[in-house]
Amino acid sequence: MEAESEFKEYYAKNMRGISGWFNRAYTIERWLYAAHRITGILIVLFVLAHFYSTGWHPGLWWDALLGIIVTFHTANGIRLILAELGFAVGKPLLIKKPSQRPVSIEGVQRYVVVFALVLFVVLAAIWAYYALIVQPMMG
Amino acid sequence: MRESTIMFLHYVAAVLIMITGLIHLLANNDPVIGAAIKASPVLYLGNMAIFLAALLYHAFNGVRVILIEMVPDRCWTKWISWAILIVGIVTYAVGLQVLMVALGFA
Repeated sequence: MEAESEFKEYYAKNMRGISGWFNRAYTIERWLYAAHRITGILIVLFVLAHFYSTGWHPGLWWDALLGIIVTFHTANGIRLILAELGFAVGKPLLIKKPSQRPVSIEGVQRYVVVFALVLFVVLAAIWAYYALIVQPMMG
Repeated sequence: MRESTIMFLHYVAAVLIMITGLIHLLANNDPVIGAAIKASPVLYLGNMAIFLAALLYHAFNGVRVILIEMVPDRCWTKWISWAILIVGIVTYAVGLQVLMVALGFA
């Protein structure tokens, strides 16, 4: 009993550190959250280098990869702002059976997730076009 | 400042980054639109000043949020927040000077 309450307190405090970002029991929103954090940290690293030697860029294909990182953070960030302000959140789903997969949110939020992912692909494609085709022509 | 206010400003900064960052990207990557944007250097410097402020706030607050989640202790949280604030202000001051040199204002 003692161990169980300690275990619950440990989880309630969210003391699992970085390993707590990756938990198989969670839904797609949780994966998006982990990806949002990782891309955020990578963008901070890029921005520091971009400032330190002014205007630094990783170059051709790495620029396209940077585009994937930045556009994911942007697209998912739009979804997060909408959710934070209470737009298109949907209702919490009642878990009826213990065997039921945990689904935190149903309804509109599903479509917002799909919208964010589609927006991510479109923006990443545009960024890649500029990084791989327009930039080399500009010299 | 209340944590909810800080996070609201975090989202406001995110929207500002989307607008000013798009202008920054177009100015440096699109030959046609870029020339039109850089036709007025003062406005572009203003855009970059807003972009830098919003980006630094958003980036450093993001790092702060991750750090204080790793170390959920009230005393540590306070010191981390102050350290991040001071580093952020110093970076903005240096960054503005670098921007003005790079855009030919100093």
